[in-house]
Amino acid sequence: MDSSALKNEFLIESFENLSTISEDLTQLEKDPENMDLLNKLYRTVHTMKGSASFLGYKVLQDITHSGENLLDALRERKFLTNSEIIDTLFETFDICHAILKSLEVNDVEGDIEIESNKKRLVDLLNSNGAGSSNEQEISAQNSVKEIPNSDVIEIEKDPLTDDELSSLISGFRESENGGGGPEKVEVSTPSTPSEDQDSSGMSAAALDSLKELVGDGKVDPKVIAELEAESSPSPEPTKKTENLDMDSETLSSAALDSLKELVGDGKIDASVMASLQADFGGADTAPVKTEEVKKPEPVKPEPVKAEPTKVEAVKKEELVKPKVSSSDILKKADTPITQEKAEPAKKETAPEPKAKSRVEIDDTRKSLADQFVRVNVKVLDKIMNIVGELVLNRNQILQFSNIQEDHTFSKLAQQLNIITSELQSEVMATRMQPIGSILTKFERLVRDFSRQNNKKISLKLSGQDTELDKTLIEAIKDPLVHIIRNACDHGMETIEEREKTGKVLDGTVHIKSYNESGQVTVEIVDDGRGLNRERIGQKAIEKNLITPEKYEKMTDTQVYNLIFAPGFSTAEKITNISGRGVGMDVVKTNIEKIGGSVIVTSEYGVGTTFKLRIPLTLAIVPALIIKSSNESFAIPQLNLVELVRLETEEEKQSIEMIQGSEFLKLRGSLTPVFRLSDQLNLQSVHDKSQALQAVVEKQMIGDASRQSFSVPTQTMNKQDGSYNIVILNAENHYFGIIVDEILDTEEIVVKPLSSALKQLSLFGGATIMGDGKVALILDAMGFLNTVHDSLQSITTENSDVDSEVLSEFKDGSELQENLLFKLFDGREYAVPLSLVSRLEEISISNIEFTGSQPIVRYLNAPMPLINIEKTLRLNGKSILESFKDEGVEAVSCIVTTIQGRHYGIVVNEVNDISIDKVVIDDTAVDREGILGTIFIHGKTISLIDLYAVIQAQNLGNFKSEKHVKKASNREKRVLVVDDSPMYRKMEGDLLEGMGFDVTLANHGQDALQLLQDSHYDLLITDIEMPFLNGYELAQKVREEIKNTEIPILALSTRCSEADIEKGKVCGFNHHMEKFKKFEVADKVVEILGVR
Amino acid sequence: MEAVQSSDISQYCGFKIGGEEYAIPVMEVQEVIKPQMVTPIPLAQDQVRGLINLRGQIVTCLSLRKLFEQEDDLTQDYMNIIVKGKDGFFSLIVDEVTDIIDIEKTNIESPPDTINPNLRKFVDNIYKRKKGLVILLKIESLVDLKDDQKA
Repeated sequence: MDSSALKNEFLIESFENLSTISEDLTQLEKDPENMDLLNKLYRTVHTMKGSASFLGYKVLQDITHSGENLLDALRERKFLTNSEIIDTLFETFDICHAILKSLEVNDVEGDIEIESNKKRLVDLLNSNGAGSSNEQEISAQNSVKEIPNSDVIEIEKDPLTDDELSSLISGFRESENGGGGPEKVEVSTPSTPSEDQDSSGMSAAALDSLKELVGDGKVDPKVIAELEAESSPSPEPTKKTENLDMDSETLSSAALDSLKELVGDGKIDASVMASLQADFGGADTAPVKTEEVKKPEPVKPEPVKAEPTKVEAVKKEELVKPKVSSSDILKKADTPITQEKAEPAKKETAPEPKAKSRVEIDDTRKSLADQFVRVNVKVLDKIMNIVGELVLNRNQILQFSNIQEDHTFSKLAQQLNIITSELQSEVMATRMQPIGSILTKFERLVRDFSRQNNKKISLKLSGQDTELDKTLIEAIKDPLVHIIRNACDHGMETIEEREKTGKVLDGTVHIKSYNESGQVTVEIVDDGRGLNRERIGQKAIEKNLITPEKYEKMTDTQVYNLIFAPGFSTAEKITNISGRGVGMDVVKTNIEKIGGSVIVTSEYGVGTTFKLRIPLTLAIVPALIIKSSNESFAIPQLNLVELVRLETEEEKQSIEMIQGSEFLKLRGSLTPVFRLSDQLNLQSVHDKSQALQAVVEKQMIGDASRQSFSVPTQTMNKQDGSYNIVILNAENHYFGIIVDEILDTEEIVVKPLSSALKQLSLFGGATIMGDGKVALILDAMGFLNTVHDSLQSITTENSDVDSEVLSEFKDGSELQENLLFKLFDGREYAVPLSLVSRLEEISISNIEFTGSQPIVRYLNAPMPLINIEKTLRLNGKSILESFKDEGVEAVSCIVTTIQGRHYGIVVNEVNDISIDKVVIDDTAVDREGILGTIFIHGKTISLIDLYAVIQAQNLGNFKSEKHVKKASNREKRVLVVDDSPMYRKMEGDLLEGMGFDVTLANHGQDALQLLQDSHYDLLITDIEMPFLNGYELAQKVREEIKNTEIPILALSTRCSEADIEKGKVCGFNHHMEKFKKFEVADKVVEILGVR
Repeated sequence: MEAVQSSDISQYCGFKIGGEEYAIPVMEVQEVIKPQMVTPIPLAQDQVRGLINLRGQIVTCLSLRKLFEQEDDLTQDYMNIIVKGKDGFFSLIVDEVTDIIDIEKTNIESPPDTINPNLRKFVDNIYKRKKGLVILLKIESLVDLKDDQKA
């Protein structure tokens, strides 16, 4: 190992050690009594010191030494841990970190100031009454620990490293300290410094620990007997430094390492070392195993103490520890353990040789070092790529095997499939790391923060062993720091505040990680003050991120998510209010970059939760393959919500046109849908691809060997008329894309697109399909952005048409849905959609006649079919009259239900549904049955009055308005408010017809005035109106017009439960759908209590 | 261009587009391949013909005809010249690949001011030879789609 490699090894190890130390210290603070932890800490620090001295990093060695001393004293329970000590220690290791950084970058330790910290460490040690032993220590360490005359000590060497031994020993000590130790307690407690220095062959403690082992049946009692015999003469301190006699001893690799250190420092003649090493036959490299050396070399480390000037260095030097072994014991090779180390009773444990000691010293994890190999991530990346290729190849072979008849081949292909999948998952596993590796670091972050800021915050972690791809772990680290810092800084109240609000004084930040639907979710939950909607809104409005009107309409979640908006964070510092936001846009972008998402939820005064959803891995993802215009695309399943197939005309009804955009009515909500072919202009793309294909095929002629096995595309006729809709979720924007075919799911390997194409955000990359062709991967968010861009250029107004704002157009005007259809004169007509129950295709063969009236059986009742052309006296013959001549098989029919009866209006062709703000112009009504004209899509369309049309049929069972009308209702005064003159008139006519005294008002303000001036028995109001809408009107009426309990009937197209609920709150008594003329009439009668 | 500086003669890969002869340094050419199955990219820039799979690598195909604003007939036979860009491979789609041309430094001239403006930003130099002119192109400018006016 050359020196730079050694240095790197050291740096890696030491950084790891430092992070362990930091975690342990945090733990220790919570649990100062934990001896295990102290011992572990001590050992880790010691290791670092040892390695530092080996490599000659004096400053590091110096500071770690001081730290080690303090820890040692703690470990010896000379005094107890307090926060001052912990703080100082933290500082110490921060210094270490700085030194290591400097080593890493500049190759020198740098001018890092350690003296003040060192002094504090020493002061702490002294002030806590350990001064004397501290003083003594130096001299103690000057003495060379030495080796027992070990003929007698027979110890079998075994896969137990020094660390393990020292842990055994310290473990033993602990029990001793805990009072549960065996009889030898007094021996191991140093009574005088001199005894302390006793480093004769075996310390009493070591002996005791051996005894323990005996107790566990691990060591032959005989050995102990001998050992005891040997060490009994040495309870009195005998400085055996000089008698460094290693006759018949076996050096452990650790000892050898220590020796090497000495050599490194020029203290031992290199030749001695060489011969030693020769004798050991590489014991230093082999991870400790049973090893027997018959003729150990004498080592004479006198120079160690012969160099007074080097006292500092020397005392930190790891000195030779004898590992003894004797041949007779060796025979019991399978008897477990022990390896022996001379351990200076108090001040210094066995040195841990550099690299191996990194392994956690824990009985349960023996020889962990043997199980692990450090691998460069680049190598893993490369393997991952190759596996990716293999997966593609597998896909190709599988696809090929599907079209082959050969059974053996398909069997082999299946095997390949299984093996590849297994390989893939294993290789992915190599890249997986528990998320805990970064989370534990936050303990420190939170701890430091709470100390500095007079807050009491504790960090709770759960699910640390949730695994994530290494690159992803790295990627979420910074965002997490941001979030946690924010949680502590802005989210958490001070102790005083918490006290005031009666909360538990200790705030908690809880990081939960868990697997959820193929993703990893990390939740950061704090119980702080929560987000303040108003403040965020105010800020956002100030920053022009949203308009006040929009703010009013936003849900809490939408408002909270404003903190992620870029620009929000750059706002002047928002401390002291709950509006968090420092760097939050960075959080969002970083998480989104890796394909994750962030959601924030909060309850004011109770706390805030950030939920990060992160994909497990990036390289290979399951995806749905779809086809449109014969071009294939892959959609990552991550974004996939569901697949919807609309087969019948009736089902297709659930797609509606609004302002030129289509929406799918899915379980009561409107989801925007896009036709992939249209959005991506796929027809022309396909033409292009066909042309290019032709060129390739031309090439292939006469080149049969290169014939691609392109699977004959069974072009499942896409024109089977049904719609395949893929519903996607792009950061909680749900939308659908209509595709021609949905093929299959496949594991795809994501290959990035050249950056030149990155501006096409709708493609997240490309992949290679089973047939070797490249397919593009659709990115849900990118797609949405792309279509939105084009939408915005088309619809100038209402640009943010999405499901949420759909029913809330900014100007508050009412949307009206109309069904557009064509009659046999070729012109377009419309009926209000709310009057349409269904659209049916009626087979001619099902049409019967009663007299001249055509009827069909529909839902078990005869349904009259209405010849609307005739009713309206239009030009053109209805299909009802001509179908016999023309040989048509079915007619389209709009079914409307009035008073519980169905009527079928036969039309030529149903075109579309328009959702528009329409103004009905009734000035040009020229005939019965037409309400007026509306202007949709640049055309003037006649709106049909279905009631009139049906009434005109003179069907016997039709209860005409005349039947409803009651002449004696004059005394009842009804106020009708509607901004649409057409409806105003319609409603007015209806009520007039019923005999009521009707007053009409244009809008809420108008109505309010009228109500204040005189008395009405009933207020019928529209909801969407200018100046004062229905809700506001009702509120005003209830508040301002005290004298009246006037019933309010709302007529609206907005009849969702939420709307009705809202209406109730505002003061509506009744809420009905517009257009339902007869139901409205009945309702009015009911309300006013007239016949 | 580096290749030119190193010796007096440098090798260029010659190809034709619309009867004109062009060349790029041969060192930058990875390979020349026949037409492949192309996956067109919807909504991409005009000159982007699509993606091909070159032994597991995704290669972006650029039509030089489109780039030079010439008529681009998709059904016409063509060749792919594979070059490496900053972040991945590109295929330059040309009518035909002619030959490797040894170009002497002394016969290279900077492009005249009168050069077709559609072409100007792609042209490195002009090489004069007996049979006529060869336009030497800058690969970086060919594969840089960003500041293309069509973007």
